[in-house]
Amino acid sequence: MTRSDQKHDGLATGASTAAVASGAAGGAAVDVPSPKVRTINRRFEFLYFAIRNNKLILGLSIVIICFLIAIIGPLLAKYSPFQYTTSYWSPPSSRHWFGTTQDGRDVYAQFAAGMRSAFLIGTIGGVIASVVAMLVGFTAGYRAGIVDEILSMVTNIFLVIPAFAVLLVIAGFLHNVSIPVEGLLVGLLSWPWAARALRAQTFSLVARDFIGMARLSAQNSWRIIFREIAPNMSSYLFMMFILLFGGAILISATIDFIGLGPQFTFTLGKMMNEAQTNSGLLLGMWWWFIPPGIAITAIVGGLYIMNVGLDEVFNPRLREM
Amino acid sequence: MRRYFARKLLTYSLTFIAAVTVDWAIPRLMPGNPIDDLLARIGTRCNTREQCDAISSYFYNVFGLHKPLWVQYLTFWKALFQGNLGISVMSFPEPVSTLIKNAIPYTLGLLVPAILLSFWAGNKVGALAARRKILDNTVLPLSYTLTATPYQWLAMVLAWTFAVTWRFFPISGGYDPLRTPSWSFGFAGDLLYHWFLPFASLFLVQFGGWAIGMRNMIIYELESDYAHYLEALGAPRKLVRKYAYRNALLPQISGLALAIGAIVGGALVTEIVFGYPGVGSLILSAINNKDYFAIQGIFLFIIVGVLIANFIVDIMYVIIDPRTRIGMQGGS
Amino acid sequence: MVSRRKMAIAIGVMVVTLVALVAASMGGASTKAARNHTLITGGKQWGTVNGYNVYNGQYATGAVGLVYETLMRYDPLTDKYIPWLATSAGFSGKTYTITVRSGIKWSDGSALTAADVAYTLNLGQYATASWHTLWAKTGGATASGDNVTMTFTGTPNYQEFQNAIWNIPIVQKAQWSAGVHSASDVTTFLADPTKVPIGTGPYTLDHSGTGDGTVKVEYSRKDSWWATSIGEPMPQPLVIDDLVNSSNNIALGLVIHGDEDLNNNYLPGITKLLSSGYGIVTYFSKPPYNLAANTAWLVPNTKRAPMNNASFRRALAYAINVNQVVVGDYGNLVQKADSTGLLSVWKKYINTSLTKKYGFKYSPSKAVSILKSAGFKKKGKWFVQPNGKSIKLGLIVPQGWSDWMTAINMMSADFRKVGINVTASYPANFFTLRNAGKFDLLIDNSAQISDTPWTYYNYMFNQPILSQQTFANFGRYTNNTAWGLSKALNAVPVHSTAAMNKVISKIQKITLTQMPLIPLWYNGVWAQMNNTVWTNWPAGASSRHYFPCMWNGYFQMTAIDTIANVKAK
Repeated sequence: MTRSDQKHDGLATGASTAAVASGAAGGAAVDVPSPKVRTINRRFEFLYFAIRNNKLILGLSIVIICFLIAIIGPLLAKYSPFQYTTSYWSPPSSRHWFGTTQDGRDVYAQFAAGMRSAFLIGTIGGVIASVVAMLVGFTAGYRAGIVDEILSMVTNIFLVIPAFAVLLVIAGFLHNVSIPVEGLLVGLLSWPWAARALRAQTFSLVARDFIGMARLSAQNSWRIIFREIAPNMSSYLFMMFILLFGGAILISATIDFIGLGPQFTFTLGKMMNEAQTNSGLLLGMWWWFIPPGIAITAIVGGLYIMNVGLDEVFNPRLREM
Repeated sequence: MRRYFARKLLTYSLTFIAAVTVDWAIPRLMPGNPIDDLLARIGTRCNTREQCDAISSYFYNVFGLHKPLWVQYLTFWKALFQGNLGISVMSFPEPVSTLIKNAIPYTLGLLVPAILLSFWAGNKVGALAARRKILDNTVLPLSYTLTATPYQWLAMVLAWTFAVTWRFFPISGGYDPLRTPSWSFGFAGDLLYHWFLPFASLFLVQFGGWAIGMRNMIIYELESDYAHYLEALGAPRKLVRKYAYRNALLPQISGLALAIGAIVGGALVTEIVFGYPGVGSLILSAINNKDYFAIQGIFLFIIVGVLIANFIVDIMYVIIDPRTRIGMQGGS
Repeated sequence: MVSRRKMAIAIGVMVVTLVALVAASMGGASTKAARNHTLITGGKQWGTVNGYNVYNGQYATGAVGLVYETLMRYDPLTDKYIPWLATSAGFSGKTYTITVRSGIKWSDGSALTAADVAYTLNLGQYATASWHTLWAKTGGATASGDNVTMTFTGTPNYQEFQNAIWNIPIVQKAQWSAGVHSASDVTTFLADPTKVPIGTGPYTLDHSGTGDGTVKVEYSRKDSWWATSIGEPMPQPLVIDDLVNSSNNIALGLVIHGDEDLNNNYLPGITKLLSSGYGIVTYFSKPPYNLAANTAWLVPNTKRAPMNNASFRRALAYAINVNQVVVGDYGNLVQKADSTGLLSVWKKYINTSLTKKYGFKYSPSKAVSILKSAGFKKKGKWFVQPNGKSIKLGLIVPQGWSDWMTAINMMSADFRKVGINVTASYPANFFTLRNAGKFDLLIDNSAQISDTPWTYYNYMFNQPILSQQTFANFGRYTNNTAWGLSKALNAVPVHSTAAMNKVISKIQKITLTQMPLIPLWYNGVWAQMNNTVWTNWPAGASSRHYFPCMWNGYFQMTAIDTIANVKAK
């Protein structure tokens, strides 16, 4: 589980505040924009505030830089991540930008490949978790009644079982997890908080007049959900995705660090695992374990900061005065 | 109130049943037979075929794997209620429950203080920082960095800095192996000395999260109607902040309940980095030795621990927020 | 305000409960042992100490050697048997006679007798004892006076029996007969860290120091030890603590800080630290740094094509650049193996004229020409079998064995270079696959250094092939001539080197031409010693030629001499 699970569920109880404040998670606080202000004006307003929000700009820049490294980085690597060269234990040099490991593999090549894996797993995990969260959250919130009861119970069960522990057991028995499988597992286990928050959001929207009108016109439920409800939560959904994305990166880094991650692809967690198990710390090989940690911190931290920025943009009350 | 707890207990019971079922099913759903692998491993430790056979028949009997699935499932439950989590492979013939029992004090000793202190300090500092420019500009970036840091990485950086480079602290272990556990100040001091770095790394990561959460919550509260109203009435700023803090604390506590699973995960990897003899290190050796029974047992233990912790947080929530007594009676 | 007070109380209660929990789990009372009287070792024990059943293979470090002892010992470095609890032991005809040394006392004060020895050997009647098949070929052990005799009904298994004699720890009849009544008791009696073993060795188990066995096993020295009467020094360490391993990384930390005096983990970085002022030494100060412990073999599954083709196996041998593994993967901590795979302690058994003729070395071009002349053809990038079928092989090692994982990555690259399509992987169920024969190629090193190459050949050719191969012949190689020869070797008396060599040369010709296994490198007796507290460690450059190693089976070789000779600084 990641810290983004800490997102509290203030809205789940019907929330006196309009906003879901974030938990320790990283901090996103999100708000459902009132439908009345969803106008062209509002979009200009969004842009106006977006380009003036330092947090958004900073977070976005960090994430974009990391993304560029993930895209371009591997192309610049002179070696393959699994290739054994004849320079062992060497600190960073012009030949090996990030130095080499104890058995002569290029740390930069592993790092660049790891960055790519991080974005891949974040995307797969984030998308799957968002889809499940939306299906469960919208259905529970829209249908209410017995469907809601059952879905909420399932959500609560998943919420309490630590995803980390389940992954541990599954990965312990699976013999080789690939990045997509790992992303799938992470996604399937990290949706509950988001579903719970979405359910509450949907509840409060359904109570509003315009949804009632749509219901009266006997439209298909999913049509109402995707035409009327979801667009009104687009900013919320976007921020939710960002947190799930960052969360997937953190969970997978933990699993990989324990040595249960992919065998044939480099990830940042796997790099830390190899540095740890091969005594990189004691042998003073800082160039081996520092870069992957900084990269994860930068991506996840950048996403969190971006999220707070977005929140301030969407929610005028939070803007700095 | 009673309904609220009844509901919570129902959720937890269902969760427990689900967890046990998952735990029981996973080895049986996975490709290959883990018992085969286990026997093969034990086989490497016996010198003759006869010895291997004796050990393998022992395991087949212990786990009753030739019986129908539903019998196996019921047996699993029965064994569970007798506190029987199976026999460890890596520490054969030690029961898994004994291994876990030995590791618990270290993990709890790390987790509980880290959770409580980081929750307390994070909330205080976050509240102070909200809407105070200078503090906010220092606390906020620091907290974001901390909360985005993978637990294991912060642990590695601390170990490298304070135990390898400067040698202020020991690099591993729960206490100096030359000492024998005893009720003495010397031993207690040694325990603390080994405890400090793993504690610090757990504390710091969590601290960042709570500080950000509280800082954001306070800002919401300060910008809410009741706060503006109070201010318009001329209430002192300090009083308004106090109310804001009280209100902001409640969502933080529900956040705590949700965070426990993640924190436990963090504690496990932190233990691994420091070789701290708790459940995390036990899990690592279970994985390295393909000790499936230990992995299953530890999984169940973690689930139960998280359930209990959640329940404690629920109780705290009710104690702290009188509204829930009324609010929760209505169910959802 | 009420709420805050309540919260404080709640937190307070939790903290107190916690402290109580931690404290309660400790308990007992003792003091810190003096460092300069304590020898701290590590590297053998993974997971909790499993107790003192010396027949189940998972006993606490030092249980055999420090507590229990064997009738004979064997020194592989000089190839000599050392009479130990027995003053003499050997065959005359089909009868093996053991003369038990007098004046030896168990740690409870009673005397070691021939009855104890006979009782121990007769545990072989239970199928779980490792010498059960041997025992069944005799009429059992009988004691009379100081002598114990065992008579074979057919031709004695000389090699196997001699090997068993220096490997069976002698237990006290009084203690064991009270608890052992069945086959499973033989491997479970005393298998609990809280039980106290009664032995003849220089140390006894320290019960309070060991506790539940999660951190260490602790031994304290006895006041006297019988072996001083035959010139063995009385060990100086009053206490020996063998620490439970949690990881190689942590072990390295302990060695660097001088918190562990002798460590037997594989520590990849150790050579970088030899000259950096930590006081760390290894047996040799130059490559390969350690003595050899066993051979790492590439095992081809001979029940699958094309590994059933000897030429293909030979081509594999030529294709591997073992030196790259030795240097790049191991940092010179291991040595390239001889073409016969025999360890250097068995040099006298290596037929050099055969190895000159049939030995192999790294040569990709030779590998290609062998394949081509055997009818393998290249189809694009890869070789195909003579019958036109494609070749796509997997090479496996256990997950988490990092040195081997690196090695197979290097090796599969070598194979691909010559056009053999091999992919490396690390399945978690490696041992299942290995035992069931569900693999193409793997690395294994199950056969250890011993007093006779027979153990190696038994490992290579053992018949019959079962559905589960648990300890030998994982490649399922069926060669009745070779198996017959290794049985013939077993029937040669131990000291008849010439007669042994005659058989061994025939076997060697088979191993060199048929290549049922491909020898790669010698895994080392990993040992890193720290001079900070204890000195006088074994060293190739000194007169102390002992194994500095706490692994099972090494004490009765020469590790006990290591313990007896270390000196406090």
